Amino acid sequence: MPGNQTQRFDAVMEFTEQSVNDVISTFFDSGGLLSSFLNAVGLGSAEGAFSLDMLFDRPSDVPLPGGASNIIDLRFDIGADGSLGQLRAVAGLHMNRATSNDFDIAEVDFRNQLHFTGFTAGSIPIPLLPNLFANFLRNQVGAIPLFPVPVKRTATDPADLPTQGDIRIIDDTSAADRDALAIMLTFAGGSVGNAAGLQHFINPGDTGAIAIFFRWLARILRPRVASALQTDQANFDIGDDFLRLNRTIQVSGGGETADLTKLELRLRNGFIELKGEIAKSGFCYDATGKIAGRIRAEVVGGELVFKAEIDNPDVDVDIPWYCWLGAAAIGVIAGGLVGVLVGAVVGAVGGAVVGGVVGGAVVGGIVGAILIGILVPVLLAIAENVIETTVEGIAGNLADKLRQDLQVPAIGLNLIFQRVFIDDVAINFDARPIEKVPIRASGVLEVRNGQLIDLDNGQVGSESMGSADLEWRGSGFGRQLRTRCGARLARTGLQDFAGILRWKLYPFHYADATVPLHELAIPLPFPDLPFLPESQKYLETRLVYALKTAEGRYSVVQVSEVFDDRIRLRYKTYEKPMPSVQLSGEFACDGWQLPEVVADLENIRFEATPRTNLRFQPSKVAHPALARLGRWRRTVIRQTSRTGHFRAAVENFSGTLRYHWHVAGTDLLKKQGTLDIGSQKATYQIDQDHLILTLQAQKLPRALEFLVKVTVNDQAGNAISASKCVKFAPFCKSEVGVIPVFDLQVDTFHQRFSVVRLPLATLEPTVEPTAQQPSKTASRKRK
Amino acid sequence: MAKTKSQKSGQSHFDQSIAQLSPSLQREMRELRKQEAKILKLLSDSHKAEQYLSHPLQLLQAGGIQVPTLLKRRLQQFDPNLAQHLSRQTYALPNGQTVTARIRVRFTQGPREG
Repeated sequence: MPGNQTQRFDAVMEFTEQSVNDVISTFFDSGGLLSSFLNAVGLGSAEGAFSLDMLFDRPSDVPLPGGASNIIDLRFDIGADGSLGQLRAVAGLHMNRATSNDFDIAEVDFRNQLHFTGFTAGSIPIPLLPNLFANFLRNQVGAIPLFPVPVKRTATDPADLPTQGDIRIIDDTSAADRDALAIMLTFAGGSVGNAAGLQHFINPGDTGAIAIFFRWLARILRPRVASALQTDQANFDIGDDFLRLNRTIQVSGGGETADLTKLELRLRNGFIELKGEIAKSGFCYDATGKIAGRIRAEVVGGELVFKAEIDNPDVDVDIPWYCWLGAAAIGVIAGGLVGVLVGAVVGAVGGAVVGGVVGGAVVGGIVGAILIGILVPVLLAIAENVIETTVEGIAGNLADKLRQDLQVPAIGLNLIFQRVFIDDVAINFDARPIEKVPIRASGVLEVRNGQLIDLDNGQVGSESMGSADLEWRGSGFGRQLRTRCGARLARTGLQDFAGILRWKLYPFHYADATVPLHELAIPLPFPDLPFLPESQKYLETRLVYALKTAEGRYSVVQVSEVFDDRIRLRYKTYEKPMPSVQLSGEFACDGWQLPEVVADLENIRFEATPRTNLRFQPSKVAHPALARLGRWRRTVIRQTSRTGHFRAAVENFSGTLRYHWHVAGTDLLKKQGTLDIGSQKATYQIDQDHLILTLQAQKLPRALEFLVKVTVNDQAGNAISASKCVKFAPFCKSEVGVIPVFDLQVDTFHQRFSVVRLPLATLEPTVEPTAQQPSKTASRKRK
Repeated sequence: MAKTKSQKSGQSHFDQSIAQLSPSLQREMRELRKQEAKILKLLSDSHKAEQYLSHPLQLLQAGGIQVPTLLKRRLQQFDPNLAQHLSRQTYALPNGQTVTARIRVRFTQGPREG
């Protein structure tokens, strides 16, 4: 039902309990934040190791103030095996609109909404520690910025940034317990929906989803569809579940013009229904044609793809009785009755022939010229170009903003699109926090049989190596990976190497271990066939193993390829807990941009989809595996922001810290001021770990390169520093989808593709690919 | 449905539509047109309209319409199978689908004259 998932908010992003748990775990691990607290209260033996269980269930064992809402319950098990005790904090989430004019930040608010802290060792409550933990959370942590929502309060275009973000914890008290965190977005022209009615809509197995209210999509589509049809957007009406043409307009393409009397997009359960009606009159006919179809969506290789299935068209033709009789009589004289049919019905107006020659017969007529020649390409353009590029733009913009925006402090998230559903339009994704922790060594190692591996340095060698963590020993099918020199291994059971974050390694049980070859890869039958490539003799399990190296660092490895004489091993070794600082930042080329309608094809590319898998499918097939035609793209050159944001992230360096920034050799001694970067004037602002640099010159250089350095001091006088070479280029390029006006799209359709009239003989349901595409001699493009 | 287009203002639509026929056939068409009311009544039945599309002479004669000699001879040679080109058309679209147009033909009196 339209608006059901979004409860009339324009868009809603939902995250599972687990994904928010991952973000908070990454937050507490990334800065060594929890580790510094544990060290300060005498729990240093935990070595910073913890695991977190975060619940959206409102706790019943903790007194909460009346009206407290959006409650989360954080339960930390301290130590690698959780044996050192359990820390607990109950706090509220809120949308922080005060920190930045440009962001509403969904955050855990420890400053004002910390309702409870506790510490138990075994089942024994320990006094004092809860108060210390509360002070730590209120004063040192303050808030956990979970998701920054970019906003533009004054926006007037529904395709611009949201005007407001809101937050809601969905605490499902039913047996299903489908809890989630919802971030609701309202755009220009929209209104705040019913937050209390929101429910979990994330597909099982995914960690988040974006749902788009069809009415908002229609508000964005209306000007784009109207522009593409070169008409006024007032000629379209919108509702909660539809966008439709409210008057007759002319459409043309491929040299034909006709009246478009109906065009409607309507949200249905699982698809968007598409209806078009077209009318054309000639000397001896009046014809109307109707085509309906369904737009379905899927995610292919992380990209959103919208495809249209077109139903059989219905055509009504009125012919004066004498026209038909006269045409039949002329046909006999001319000896070409197909020509008579075309001549009687279409020839009188010089009717075009669509498709070409099939089986030696000239084909065409009103159906081909108007319905197949204009309406079908228009409907395909609406589905594959307008809707796809618009929804892709919306989802892409949201994903870009969540990935990393250094304007506000927040854990970055990579959103990997997994599935898309239309009811409202909901896109499921896998949300992965981006960790900022020091990596000691990482890469891919090639290890020959009998060699040893030092994961602390990424070295491979023989027994003469000074230190080693793993050995690849044995021969043939008896080979095995074995821990060495006190290194310990744990089987994670996971296969997603990229999804491993440092804090996920803490709770595993590490021990001396041997991993046999058959656990790493399955030898394929007939491995000695001469034509089989070396890389295809084994089917790798791609299991991920966690290690504590001989030198005490956490590491993660995955055997990615197995050969007869060697293996390839992917690894990442984290640095030990030690004071460090990492510097990140840039002059970003950001922007919230939805596709524009363009009236000419200058600098526009049509990237046709490879058609090797194309199969003809009769329309009666329920869900034909349709090919999409391609994408319209262009390279956009935008100005790089003259303001750069830089942030310093410290690790295991606690207490009151002072940040000293140096830019292009200049010490920045005040909270704000000016400086010279080469020949350029710039201003700066400093807020502890956050430096904002703004270039002042009207005319910017082609490129500018300079060093940014930060030195962090603690109260004891210890110092750590990091530097980064920053490049500023005045322009940046990005690839975006565009919507050419439909005249151009229809013309391109006919230049690149053939709509082929098939012989009257009954069609086979599916034919072999080689027979599907008409040969060049058998097809003729429309003129 | 929009009105069938008329090309020349001086002649009736009927006259324009038979202009390409020989003078003899034109005369016979005018003769036949005197039975237009009866023909239209016959063609108002959708089954009979279908027959008219593929077997015009047969339908007219079965309906008691007097078809002049020369016109009758020409219509005797009409190949009924070829009418299918108008009534059923199947297209292969570039996205891999095939669609078959359902075409309904209705025979009318033509544009009103005067």
